[in-house]
Amino acid sequence: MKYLRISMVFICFLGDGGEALADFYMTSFQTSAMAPNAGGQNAFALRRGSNDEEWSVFSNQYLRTGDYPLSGLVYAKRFPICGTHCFWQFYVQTGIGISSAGPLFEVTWGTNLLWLARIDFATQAFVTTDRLIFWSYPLWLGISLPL
Amino acid sequence: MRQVETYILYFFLASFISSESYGMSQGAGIYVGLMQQPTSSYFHQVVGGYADAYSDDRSLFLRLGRIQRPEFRSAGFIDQEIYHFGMVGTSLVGAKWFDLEAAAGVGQVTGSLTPVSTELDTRFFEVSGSVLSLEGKMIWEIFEVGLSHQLFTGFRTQDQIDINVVWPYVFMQLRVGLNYHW
Repeated sequence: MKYLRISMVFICFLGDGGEALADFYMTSFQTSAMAPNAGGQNAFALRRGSNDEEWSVFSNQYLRTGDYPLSGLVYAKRFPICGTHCFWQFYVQTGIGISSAGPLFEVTWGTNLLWLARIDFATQAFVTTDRLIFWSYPLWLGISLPL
Repeated sequence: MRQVETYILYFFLASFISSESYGMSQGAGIYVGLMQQPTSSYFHQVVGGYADAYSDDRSLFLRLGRIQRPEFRSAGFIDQEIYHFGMVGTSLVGAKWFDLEAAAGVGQVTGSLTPVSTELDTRFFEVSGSVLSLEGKMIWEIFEVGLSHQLFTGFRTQDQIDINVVWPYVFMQLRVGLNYHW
C-alpha cells in the first residue's frame, strides 16, 4: 500500500502536478539542528502532517525548563508552495502550541525532498511569565516517510 | 554599502520602466520592528526601507531592503548593525484585502563595535546568509500594512561547520508601504 501511494504521488507529479493529495500524510522525525552556540542542538521532533496541517511533539535537549528539556506540542496550519504532488515539497507553516516554558507560536519553512529528507528552518516564540523569548532552529534535519 | 542602495534604485527604475510590458506593479515603504541577534535573548529596535515589484496576479514578487539597528551605546561600547536583503516570494492566500506571503533570498549583516574609553580600534564584522520570510498583510487600495517574520541564517565557515554553529538573526517587523501599477 505504501509503495502504491508513493507511485500515485510520483505519477501525479509527472503529470504536471495534479491536485495535491489532501489525505496524503507524511510522518517525520527530526534529530538535530544547528545553533548559534558551539555544538549545535539536539532537538527531537515527531511530526505528522498533510498538505494542509501538521501535528508535532518536540523536545529540545539544549534548552532546559528547570531540570527537564524544553518540550512541547504544536498544531500548525500548512501553506504549501509546492504541495504533496511535488517530489520536492516546499511549504511554510504557522503554528500554536503548549510547552514546558509556556504557550508558543511557531513559524516554519520546511522542505521534503523525495519524500525522504526533511529540512526545516523554524522559529518558536515562547510566552513566559515575564517575557517573550524567540528561539530558532536553522537547518533542523530529519527524515520523512509517506506513512 | 552605498552600492546596495544604488542597486535598489536601479532595480526600482528598471521595474518601473518595464511594468507596462510585463504586468507589474511597484511599491516602496518602511519597516519598523525588532531584531534578535544570534547569541542574545534581547531585542533591538530596527528601522528600514524597501522597494519591491509584484506581478499583477501577486504570484511573484521581488523585494530589496535595508534595515538598520541605530547606533547604541552600552557597557563602554558603541555598536551598530546594518542588514541588507533581497528576496523573491509568492502569495499563499491571494484574497483581495488580505494575503500571506512567503519569500526566500539572500542577505548580509554588517556591524561595528567601537570601545568608548580605550585606544582600541573599531572592530567590523560581516555575515552573509540566506533569508526566509513570512508575512501577513492587509491591503487597502494602494496601501499595504504587513507583519513579517524574517529569519536570516549566516552561511557557515569551515570552523562553524566543524562545531555545528550558525548565526541566525530574527526580525519581527511591521511594514507599511504603497504599491501601485503605474
